[in-house]
Amino acid sequence: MLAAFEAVPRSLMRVILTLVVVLFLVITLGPLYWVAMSSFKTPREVIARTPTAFPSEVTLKNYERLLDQSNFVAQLQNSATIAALTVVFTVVIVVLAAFGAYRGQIHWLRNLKFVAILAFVFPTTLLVVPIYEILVRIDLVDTIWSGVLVNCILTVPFSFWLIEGFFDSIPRELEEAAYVDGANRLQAGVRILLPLITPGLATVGIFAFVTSWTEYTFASVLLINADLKTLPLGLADILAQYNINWGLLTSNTTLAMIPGILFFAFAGRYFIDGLVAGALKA
Amino acid sequence: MAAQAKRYDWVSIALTVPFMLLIVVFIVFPVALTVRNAFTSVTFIGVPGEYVGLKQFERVVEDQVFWDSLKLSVAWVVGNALLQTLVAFFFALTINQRLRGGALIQILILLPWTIPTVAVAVVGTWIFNSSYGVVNYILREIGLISMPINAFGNPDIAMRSLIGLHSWHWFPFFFVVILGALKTVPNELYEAAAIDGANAIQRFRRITFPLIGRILGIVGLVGTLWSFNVFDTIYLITKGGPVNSTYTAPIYVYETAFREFQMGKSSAASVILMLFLMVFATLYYRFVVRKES
Repeated sequence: MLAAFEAVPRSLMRVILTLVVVLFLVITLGPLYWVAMSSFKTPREVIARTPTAFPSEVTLKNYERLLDQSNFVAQLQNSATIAALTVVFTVVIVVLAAFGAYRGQIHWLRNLKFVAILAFVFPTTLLVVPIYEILVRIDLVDTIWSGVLVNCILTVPFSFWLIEGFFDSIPRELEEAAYVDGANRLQAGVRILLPLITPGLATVGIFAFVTSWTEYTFASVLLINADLKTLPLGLADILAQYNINWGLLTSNTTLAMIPGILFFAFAGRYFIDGLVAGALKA
Repeated sequence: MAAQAKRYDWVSIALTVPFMLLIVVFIVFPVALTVRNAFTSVTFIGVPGEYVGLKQFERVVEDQVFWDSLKLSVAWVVGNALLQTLVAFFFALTINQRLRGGALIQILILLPWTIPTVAVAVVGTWIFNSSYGVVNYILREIGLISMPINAFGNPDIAMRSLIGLHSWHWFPFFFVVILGALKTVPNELYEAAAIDGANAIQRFRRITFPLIGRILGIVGLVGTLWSFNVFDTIYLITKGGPVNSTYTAPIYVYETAFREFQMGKSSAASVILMLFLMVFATLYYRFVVRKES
């Protein structure tokens, strides 16, 4: 049997591999395509017994209705604001802590990464209740900040763990050369280290963006006011209705997917490289 | 430099303060609160309860629904781990054969991971819809089924459907990590082994697996703990139903706290689950990750 496996000609092997990849892409992207296509169909066609691969009549009615009726624009703004703030806070907190822990003279600070691992594997769902309690007490429930904070809880520990490999790959001699030239620690950090760990920061930033963009559980408990709802919360409201309007729901879903996909199309490369580099060094 | 080293490095400590604050205030403290609540009769959040000793723990342990939810969680974790690892591994090995367009394929494959979980729920309920869903249509057309499958409404298959959907959402992430690990294996090793007459399966067993075993071990641990705690995908689609067939442990914790308003009991269940996961993670680390390295 093994001999047979080896005996398959190279060209045939290549064809089989390509077919596997195509099947793979259909499974991965097919569902996304299907939802996007449904959003351009008329109400009658969208629930037709025989589904059509392309809309026989392309309509933008669903999108018009969505923008008219729902708070889509406000939700998009809230999601974008929370995601942007989450990225900024995650990157700043992680960079500062990483400078201290991975480039300082106190060796036990490095052990914070074990605390970080513990935190990111900790059951976050189990934290919903107590975190809600804490945010009630400090009066942050139903503010944008509660959304930013909980996202940081989800992103910072994993990011701190991930960034270690990037710091370790930079030789200390580079910094020391800067000290010899009379630079202080801040100058050495900003001028020498910061540019070199940019790929790591890109990875952390993208991870923070995606986590924040997709988060639902905490937001559903913490953001109650209709004006503060994020895209996932708006989507969940339509999904929870008894009679689902599929045209409306698929158009809303399509619009909610696009920013993440666009963002990833441009930044995905850095994320993949960084994730792999960071994970391998851990 | 030498003079600097002698002074205590307060700057480093100061730099880590925001990080430590976040961890202490929003992870360590909440865990402590949960443990405290587990020993009280607290019902609603914010309404103080009385100390009741181990009573809440007894209530949880005597609750058959809790044990059922734990069993379902184990099934959920095992199902997801098997499916995601197998699929991710299989395709990572395929793509690693230096196919053209590998970089683009990687980005395309990661796209499901970037969409909101709620959108995943919509995608799932829409393509599996028993009246208008495209999956049922295709399966009927090629003659695999005669009656439409109610993927999330039939208690016999709801769990499997959810595992499939969640794996679709998350396997891309593990695919990327595994592919990255495969790329670190030097090609010369394979060539040398091929010259020595090792076949493809021997090469995989003797070279690939030992070299990437450690990363696989870590990915397995992280993936297991992440998937154990999945709440949103399940809750959004089935709310734990039909007939509790997808009522996993995180759903139990949530429902007990926010629907039954039994914060004390929910906290006790959380503490039990936390201990359970800690024991699991320790054993796993000891016997799987360490062994590999």
